[in-house]
Amino acid sequence: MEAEPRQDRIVLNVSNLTTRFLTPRGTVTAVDGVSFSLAAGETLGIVGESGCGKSQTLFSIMGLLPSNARVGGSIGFEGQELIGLPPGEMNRLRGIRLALVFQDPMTALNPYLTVERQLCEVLEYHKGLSRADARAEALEALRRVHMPEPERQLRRYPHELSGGMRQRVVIAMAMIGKPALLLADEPTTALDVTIQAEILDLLAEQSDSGTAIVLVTHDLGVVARLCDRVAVMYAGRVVEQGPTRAVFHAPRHPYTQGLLAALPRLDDLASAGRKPIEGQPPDLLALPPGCAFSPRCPLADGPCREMSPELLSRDGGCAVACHHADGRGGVS
Amino acid sequence: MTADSGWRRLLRNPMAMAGLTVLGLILLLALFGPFLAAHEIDEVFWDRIGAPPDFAAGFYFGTDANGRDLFARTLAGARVSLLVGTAASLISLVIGVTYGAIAGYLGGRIDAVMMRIVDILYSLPFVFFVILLTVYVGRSLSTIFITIGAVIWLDMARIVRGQTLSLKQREFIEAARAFGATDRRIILRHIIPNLWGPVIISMLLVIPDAILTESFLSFLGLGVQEPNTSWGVLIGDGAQNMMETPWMLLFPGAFLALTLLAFNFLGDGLRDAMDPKE
Ligand SMILES: Nc1ncnc2c1ncn2[C@@H]1O[C@H](COP(=O)(O)OP(=O)(O)O)[C@@H](O)[C@H]1O
Ligand code: SF4
Ligand SMILES: [Mg+2]
Repeated sequence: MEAEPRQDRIVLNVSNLTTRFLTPRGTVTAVDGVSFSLAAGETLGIVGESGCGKSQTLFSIMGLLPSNARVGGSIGFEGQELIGLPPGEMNRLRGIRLALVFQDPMTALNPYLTVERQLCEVLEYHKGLSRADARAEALEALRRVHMPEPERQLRRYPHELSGGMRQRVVIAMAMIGKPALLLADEPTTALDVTIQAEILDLLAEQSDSGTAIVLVTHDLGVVARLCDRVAVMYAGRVVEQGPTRAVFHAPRHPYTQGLLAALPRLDDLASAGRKPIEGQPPDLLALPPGCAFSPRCPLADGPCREMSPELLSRDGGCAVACHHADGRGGVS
Repeated sequence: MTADSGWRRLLRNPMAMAGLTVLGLILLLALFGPFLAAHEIDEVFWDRIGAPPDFAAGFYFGTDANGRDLFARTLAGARVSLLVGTAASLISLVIGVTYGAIAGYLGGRIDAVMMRIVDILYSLPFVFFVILLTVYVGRSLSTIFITIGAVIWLDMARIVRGQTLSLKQREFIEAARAFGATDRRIILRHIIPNLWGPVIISMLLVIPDAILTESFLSFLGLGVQEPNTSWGVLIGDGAQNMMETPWMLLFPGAFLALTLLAFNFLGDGLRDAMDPKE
């Protein structure tokens, strides 16, 4: 369906992942038939407006869903099926084989534990390390994320650190077990612009050392910089997916085109008129018939409002879910 | 809020510090009572029945209606009260905190069942319960411990459950789970340590409550047995001879009142120290 990564190094293989929430108002399908696979050292970007299911895709992979959630499909991780895995075995994988970096480092750290305790905690969940060994590994983990004065930071509490330093701690915690897969949910959104670049460099380094990364963001610039492949989500579905270059150079789905058109560009001084896509993403409890994007789509016609388009492979290793992706595709 | 500035605020609060000092003094008196008192608690002086304070003879607080040294007996009462207070705080800490944290953390049906049990224990007619126990188990200090212990942790369990429910929403709990922490680990490492503020404050409410309950039961004659004594027993005896021998009521009464006040001042000071908004 999409640009297949090299089969021998596949770390994650998500197939037809569907996550539903049972709510008093009805069933919300937050993730609807999402499929992708990821090889070691590869980075996949997931983009889309907020509420389109990016975070829930990550939480589904981590097995961190609330009790009203129902997951379907398959999540193959290092050859093991994660859906239906007993909680104890899932705990043994979390933090050591696969790790999650939260959006806001202000709230993701325990305010009452020193940096050293937080880092050592993760090791103690998984290995019975002695205090001294754990400390040595914690120090090493801080060095790997280029923390200034790592020995001193070990003794400090989260509130004594700047936002960027806290996110370094969070990434150090995620990387301390040397996971095969790192999931990052908007890891730079809560940070200053100047710090964002440093944190992204840090993720790129982790990827160079062979970690597979799924990076959720709504910043297409970040995707262009960091991601080998990109999946664009809308209303719980992947609407376009493929190698980042191909998708960004020739977006075929009107939603992707809209997202890219809204991007301010330095090389385009006439960009004053660039505007975001009009309207809002649909209420997941009241999806429009046919294509979920049709109420906002400039190309929508009769079939669009009746039949939901399937995600189909196109040339160039891309997959697009749009009735008009091939025909009148290149609107600009 | 940080722990450091909280402590500093507490140290600057004169009422709280006065409370702490009084409690320290009473603790010292209770611990070293046998060395400080000139007489045994059960030694009867036939020539001094209901005698007023006499420093020269070592009867600093006078004697009771049986001619026993009231100073020694008041300090013995302090030991009982502080013992009751310690037991109550241990029970609240161990049972109340664990119970509340588990109920709040697990939530759902388990939480509902656990909290209904608390409601039922809460609504038991307490004094009736004690009288039944004294009839079947007998009158003793351990009966008092059992009955106070059966209900004293309920408040703590409720407070801790409420706190846990709100802590559970915090992202660092979710983050800990994402790093592979088990439920047990999360409760022990991330929930309970973050509860210390409200737990200490409610301990400072629970302890005087337990001390007062013991005094009340002993006052009713349901508590500590002769020749051992407690403030409640002494106050009960004193109240009967209030007109002729007022010191018998005055000294144990003053100790009880001072202790309760001291706990209250300290509790208020701690609450203010931890909540700078007020
Ligand atoms: N516990 C839940 N119960 C019901 N709906 C939920 C729940 N959690 C998330 N959702 C819904 O799932 C959708 C996708 O959410 P999310 O993955 O967080 O979006 P985002 O792409 O912004 O990360 C949202 O519309 C949200 O309302
Ligand atoms: S299927 Fe139709 S409505 Fe949906 S994105 Fe394509 S053109 Fe627009
Ligand atoms: Mg999100």
